[in-house]
Amino acid sequence: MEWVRDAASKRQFEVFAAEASDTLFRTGYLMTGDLKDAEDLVQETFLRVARRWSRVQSMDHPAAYARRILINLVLRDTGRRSRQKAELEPQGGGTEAADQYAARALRAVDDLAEFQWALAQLPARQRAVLVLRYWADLPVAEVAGILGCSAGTVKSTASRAAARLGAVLRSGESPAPEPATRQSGKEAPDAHRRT
Amino acid sequence: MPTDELEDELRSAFTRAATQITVPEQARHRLLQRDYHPRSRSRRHRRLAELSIAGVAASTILALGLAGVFGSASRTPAHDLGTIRTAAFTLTKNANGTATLTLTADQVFNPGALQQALQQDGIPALVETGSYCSSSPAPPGAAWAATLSLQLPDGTPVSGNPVPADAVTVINPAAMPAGTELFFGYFNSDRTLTGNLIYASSYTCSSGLPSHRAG
Repeated sequence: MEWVRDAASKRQFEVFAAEASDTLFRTGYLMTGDLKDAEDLVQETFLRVARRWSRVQSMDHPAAYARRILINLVLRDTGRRSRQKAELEPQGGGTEAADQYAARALRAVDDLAEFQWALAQLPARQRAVLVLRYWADLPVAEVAGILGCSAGTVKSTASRAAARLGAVLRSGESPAPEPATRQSGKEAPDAHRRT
Repeated sequence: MPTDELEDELRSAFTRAATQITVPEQARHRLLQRDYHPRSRSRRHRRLAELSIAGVAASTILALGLAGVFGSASRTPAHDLGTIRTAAFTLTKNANGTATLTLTADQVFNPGALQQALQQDGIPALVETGSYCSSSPAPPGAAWAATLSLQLPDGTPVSGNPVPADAVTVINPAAMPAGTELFFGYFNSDRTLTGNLIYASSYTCSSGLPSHRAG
């Protein structure tokens, strides 16, 4: 009977949601720096997963699918794809010396608020690369798949984002927009706003 | 690509930051209690003019007590000193760890609200309308009997029929075996609420009351 399947499926979704909610919430918070935004993101993610649950529940990693939705919800709100693409175009990354400075700055961080503030100074796509690569610990290829770009672009974006994060932490000030930002009309840092 | 040293520091920084992110309990509750399957809300719940109590016929079915009308009860769940009160039911958490469920006779039964209230009190539960769920094999009957019981307001156990109108249902979550949850099924046609104990990971549901129910 159809109803029986529906009831069992609904229950399985509830189990999935209970298991995935905290991790998704933390991912949402790292991406937005706002508890309410994080909750809204998780709720919207669950709604979208629920609509496709008959297909999602047969996946090997439904939680990974949900995380992908959440990340893309954030990015959807940050601007048009052309602007996002501009953010991901390979540009010069941090130098080895800059990386050493950044590593030192990161080592010194022990306060969530400070780290969250610095993270929020990055454009959303850079933030997404860092969150997916170093919080979710995904391989470069998987990050590229989620963001719809090449592995090389993920690597260069990670490099620029890490250097920028380190610079923000060291200086304690918001970085000036990169020249390319103004020329390409790229979004301002932390432009994510949910209505 | 960042250097290996910087990548290690990034992972470490994210881990430290994430451990400091506390998911607000209220946010978690809202997220997990929301119905993400809106089509399931299309079930119609009729306003009840009169309620009757179904008899207890089998060890796995319990017709629950329906108490008198709470005329002043609000439709909005109210939480006060361990009591969750809605127009349709009141769930009170007792000092000994049990919970007392009292249904209001003249209000539309809301399965989602009851399920949410039970879970908020730490009682895993599945509440449906128009269906009956069971596990095969079923959890031990003794566990069921220890988990769900009918009592008069003064604590006197109730057995047999007819069930007094002021009887309440007492739930003892401590008696629930690991992996089980309460199932409540409400039937508009009979104006009956049945209770059962099921394994959360293995159960089936069917429309209508089980055939061995006494009328």
